[in-house]
Amino acid sequence: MSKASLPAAFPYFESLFKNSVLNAVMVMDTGGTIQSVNRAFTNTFGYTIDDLKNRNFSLLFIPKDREAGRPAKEIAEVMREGQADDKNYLVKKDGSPVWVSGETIKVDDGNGNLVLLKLIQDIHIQKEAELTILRSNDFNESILTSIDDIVIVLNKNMNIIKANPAFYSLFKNISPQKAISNFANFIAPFDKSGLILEHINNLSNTGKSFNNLEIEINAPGGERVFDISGRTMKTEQNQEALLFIVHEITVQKQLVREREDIIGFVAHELRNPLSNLLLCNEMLKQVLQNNEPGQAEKLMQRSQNNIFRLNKMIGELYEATRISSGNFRLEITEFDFDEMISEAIDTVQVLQPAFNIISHGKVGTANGDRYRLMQVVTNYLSNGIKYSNGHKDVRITVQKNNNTIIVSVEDEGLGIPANQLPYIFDRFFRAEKTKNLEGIGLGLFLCRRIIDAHGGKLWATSHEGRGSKFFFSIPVCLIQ
Amino acid sequence: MKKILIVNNDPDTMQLLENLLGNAGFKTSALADINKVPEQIEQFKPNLLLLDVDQREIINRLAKAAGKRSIPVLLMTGHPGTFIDKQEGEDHIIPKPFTLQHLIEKITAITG
Repeated sequence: MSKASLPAAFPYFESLFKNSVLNAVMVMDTGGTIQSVNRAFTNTFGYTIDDLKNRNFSLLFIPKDREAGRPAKEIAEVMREGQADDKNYLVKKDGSPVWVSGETIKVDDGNGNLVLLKLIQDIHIQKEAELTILRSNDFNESILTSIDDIVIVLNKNMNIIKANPAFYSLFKNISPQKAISNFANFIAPFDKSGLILEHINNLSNTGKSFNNLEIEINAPGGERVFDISGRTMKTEQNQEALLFIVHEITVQKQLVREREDIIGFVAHELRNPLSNLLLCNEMLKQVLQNNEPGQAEKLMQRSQNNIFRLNKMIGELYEATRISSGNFRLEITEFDFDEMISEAIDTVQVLQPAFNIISHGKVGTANGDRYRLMQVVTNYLSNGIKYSNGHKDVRITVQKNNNTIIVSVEDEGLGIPANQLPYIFDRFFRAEKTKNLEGIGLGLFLCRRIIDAHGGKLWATSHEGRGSKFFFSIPVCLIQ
Repeated sequence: MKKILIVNNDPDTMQLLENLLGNAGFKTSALADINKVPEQIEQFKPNLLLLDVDQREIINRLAKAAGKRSIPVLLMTGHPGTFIDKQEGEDHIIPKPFTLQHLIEKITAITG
């Protein structure tokens, strides 16, 4: 647009003013006082000339710009240069801001009067679209940064165009700055099965996407399992690219494997008493044929024992599942610890009257889950008796050290070989020699869970053939 | 008379198998501790080793000591994947729980 203020030019502007439906035009004097606006202006801003006549055009600016003195600067510039243009917000009659591109020019109205014409283009939609793209780029970027899944984009030459932080944290020895010239070469040594390369090449050659490819990677720090999906995509520059989304499933895989092991173990264990029941029946058939009622009664007792054994295993399994699940909550109360110990002793003593349970020490009140702690104590005592190997004395000692209660149960039984001692609190552990004794190997595992939940400790000492001593400690005052 | 060495660390199972196989006309010997197996093989000279799958490590130990496998092994297993009789290498496998009749058939088939 011409910077000249020629009288001859005015009819052009007048025509523009009157006829343009796209460009809002406003006429003001050199002080910024509005003289008139065209129809396009009214359409865009909602204001008619009656709303604006003789008012300063600064009322169209957003407060921030007004405070910054932008209206006055604009006038000064146009008076100095003959023209000024700018992109900024103007406020509609309804108060909403519109992003506009405006140009103000100084013209002679033909009568020797200088007027200012402000031509305004509503570029709000473009501006919004731009902002949306920016916002969504930011948004996408922050998703990429924050997710644990690895996202990699390769170009056709196998160069990394983009990789998110999760990728760089998997391969700690490389940095985003250090360029990986060829991803295929880079990944080859980590690609245990060779499947990654095969799929990347296939995707690159055929464009056929793949989903949920399970692969093992020799990552720094150990083997890990991932689930990879790959597809082609177009970059912002419309270039062909390969997109890979990599989700780690190492933990899930381990859990599945562990669960299979557990089910296998449990099934095997449960079938032992079941086998015995079947064999008892066979025996029973034979002794009945031989008319030996005394033997028959013994065998029925044995069947019954095997049923109880099965039942106990099932009970332990249920308890272990409950305690291992996230639903396990302690019910903390203040209670008389010594009384709890006495009750535990009575519970075990009733079932095993032939044994002497000898109790030492008193500690008074404690905080904790009384029912669960009693489970631990009865478990320790039952183990002491179970593995007594004919010895009749089991000793339980309670003592308080500063803010800790320590309980120990000592037997004179089988003892545990030193190489097995570190594993006794693990799930399904049973010392080789004690396999025949009832239970599925979850008793001490349950104890560990319970004491862990109390913020306490468990440990044991043992001499094979001379007996074991099991300990646990819990804080007197429990902070939940 | 075929001789069977029963190795089982469940005393109930061990005793029942000993009685039932004895009544069925086999000569049996039973023990719980796998460490005593080599010695008992020397003395008892069994035709078959009846083992729980948990004790299969003794098979490798015996094979190592002898240089080769000399006695057939029948493994009892309660593993959930095992529902039918099968053979793994030189080991015969019988799934738990089994009937006495099934066990005797199996032993007879192996010992000939």
